[in-house]
Amino acid sequence: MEDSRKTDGRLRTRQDADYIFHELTRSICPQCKKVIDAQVIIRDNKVYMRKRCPDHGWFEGIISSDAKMYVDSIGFNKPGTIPLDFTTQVDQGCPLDCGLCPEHKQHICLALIEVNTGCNLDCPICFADAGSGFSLTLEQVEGMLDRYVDTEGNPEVVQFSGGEPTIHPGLPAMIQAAMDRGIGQVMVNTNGIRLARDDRFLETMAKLNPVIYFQFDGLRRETYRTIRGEDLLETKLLALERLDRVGLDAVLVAAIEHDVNLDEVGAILEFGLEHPAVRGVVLQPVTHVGRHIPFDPLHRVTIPDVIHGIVKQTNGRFLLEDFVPVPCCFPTCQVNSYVYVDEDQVTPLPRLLKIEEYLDYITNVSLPKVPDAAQIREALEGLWSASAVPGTDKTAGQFQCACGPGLDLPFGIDHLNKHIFQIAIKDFLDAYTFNVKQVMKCCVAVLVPDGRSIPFCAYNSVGYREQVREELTRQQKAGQS
Amino acid sequence: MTSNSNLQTKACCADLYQSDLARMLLGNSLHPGGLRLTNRLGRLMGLSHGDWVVDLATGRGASASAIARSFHCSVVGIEYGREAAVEARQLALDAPVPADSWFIQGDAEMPPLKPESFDAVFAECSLSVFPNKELAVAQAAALLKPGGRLAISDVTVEPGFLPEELDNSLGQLLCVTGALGVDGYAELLSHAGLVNIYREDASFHVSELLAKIKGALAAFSALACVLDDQGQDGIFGDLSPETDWNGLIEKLEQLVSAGRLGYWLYVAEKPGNGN
Repeated sequence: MEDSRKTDGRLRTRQDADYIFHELTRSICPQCKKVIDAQVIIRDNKVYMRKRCPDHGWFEGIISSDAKMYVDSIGFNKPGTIPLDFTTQVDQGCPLDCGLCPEHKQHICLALIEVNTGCNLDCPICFADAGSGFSLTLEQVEGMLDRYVDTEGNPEVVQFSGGEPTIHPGLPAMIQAAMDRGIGQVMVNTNGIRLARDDRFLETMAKLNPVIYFQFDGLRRETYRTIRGEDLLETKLLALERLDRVGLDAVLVAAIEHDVNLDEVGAILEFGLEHPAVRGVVLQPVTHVGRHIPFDPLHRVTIPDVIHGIVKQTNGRFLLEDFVPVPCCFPTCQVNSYVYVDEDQVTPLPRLLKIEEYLDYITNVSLPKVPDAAQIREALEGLWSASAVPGTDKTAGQFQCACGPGLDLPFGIDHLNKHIFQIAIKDFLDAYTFNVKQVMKCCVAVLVPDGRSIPFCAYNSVGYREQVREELTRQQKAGQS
Repeated sequence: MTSNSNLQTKACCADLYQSDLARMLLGNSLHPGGLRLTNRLGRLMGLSHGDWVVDLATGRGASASAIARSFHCSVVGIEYGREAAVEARQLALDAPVPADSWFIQGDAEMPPLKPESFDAVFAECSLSVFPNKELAVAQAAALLKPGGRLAISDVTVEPGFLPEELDNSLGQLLCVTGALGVDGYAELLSHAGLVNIYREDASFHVSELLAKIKGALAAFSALACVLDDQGQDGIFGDLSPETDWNGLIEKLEQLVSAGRLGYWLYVAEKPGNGN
């Protein structure tokens, strides 16, 4: 009875979907920013987010190019630590009540203060969309720092950013204000131009001794022309040489994009490992917020692309297993590795210690049966955290504790500071990858003069950045007239 | 305590504090909680723009300058050690961001300053090492204007609970041998005629410090031997390398959780505010 198997000429056999439905979450519409449901699906060992806005239709973007890595990372989700105080109330629901609201699942490991919107570059890629706008006063920054102390009790890290913070004349006093409040780890996020050119500024920074979060996108001139709009290679190299001369520590921060510098991640890492001023690298897939070059949401760089890139481009020096998810935030947001560098010898910490035995919180209910397992876990949590700043005594001490049993290290924090190297790969969310679940546990926040601390990816994607900028610019104009 | 042994303690302290380990554990401000607690103390004193403040036993002046900048105050730091006072002065001169902080050599028990002329006086982790605490507090109170605030942050050890391993020069360095109990400091303030005595438990910072030390020890069970190799064997006083460090730290942790050992902040007010 062949006819019964067909209806209007179509085969009546059930078909399997070409994807696995992983979860349902919430996201935003890339066009109108409305909060909408989103499906996370796995197809061809890759993870995608698929969602529909009633007004703007369907959107799909890749969120991880390695489904196994993505799914395996979930076990690293650590119970959050609740801040001392919240600044907003739950009203419209996440991510519209930032922040932090009482439903937030984690305190702040790293706070950003954007001291200005102005910049001495005009990059085609800039998540902050630097340009005209506002410039904070010292008084405003002091108020923000005091509020940060109120909400955190013992705040860990502050990073001054912009715009370009080094062109703000009040930056040294702002750095000092953070240090005076006992925030031991202060970072300055900079393009390095002023450090390369201004002797007096360099000398002031050397006295204050913040960690320099140094934008460094690669070793090819073309990379800078594409990402920064001009060839900055010489300036970058000069700035790093000058940082080394005055003893300032730098972390190289690269924005990674397909067909621009994804093939340079290995070279950036090797360069950093050899440069005397560099204590770590942070590799960040380009976030498609603010200003960015045209992109295909199905073909963006994700964390596994960077890890695979490093493994392929460093001739066996690094393995996939050397990179471990960070438990304090949502573990799909960041992976870290640490290496002990001595002469030509590079020893990744995950080769000395089974990190997953200490940091896998869901499948491993008990710690390994070794003496001091609790201290080792604590030290590893300190290292695998958004608040770990390479080049600082604290990080050196944690490394020392974590690997003490496995590695015969010469004594001395100064020695360790110069020999421990951090590799962090951090994937910030944009409108295509925005996942409320990640934002709710985000531990990187932008401090705002009105007292709020807004999770970084919400700040960039949901519309907070635009609102805050407009308000602060308006206030500044009103104050001047 | 004679002034000679007092100076010896200070010299020995300087050695200890210059070691890598101490710097990692304590940071530059050299007391539990570091500048975080200094800032907290400044808030509790209710400092405001233009206040005149005294820092007793200011050391290298890190807290005095931080308070001066954070609260927009003028701070006079008194330091017993002449060299430290000179160094504090030089550090202030070299500071990239100037502070309205001034440093003088002097004895906190006989401060060379005009009485009834300051809005606040504070002593961080120093009262415990003062030989004559009553005199020091009375003198500090005398410096205050009516309505002025005296603040103390210090190690607390309940009477009779000092572990015998610390009843020695190491204990002296760690400020535990001369420490009072939690009520002891409050009574000192009260005896000096101060009122509205507020106290706050900051013992968390001691636990934090002990956890850090424990972490370092976990990695360096042979710490004392390594230090010996570097010719720094004097740092740990009369403790032999065989000392059961982990046992001692565990004992201290137990004392902290039982409330026998701690770190507390106190603020009290001088009566007679005319307003």
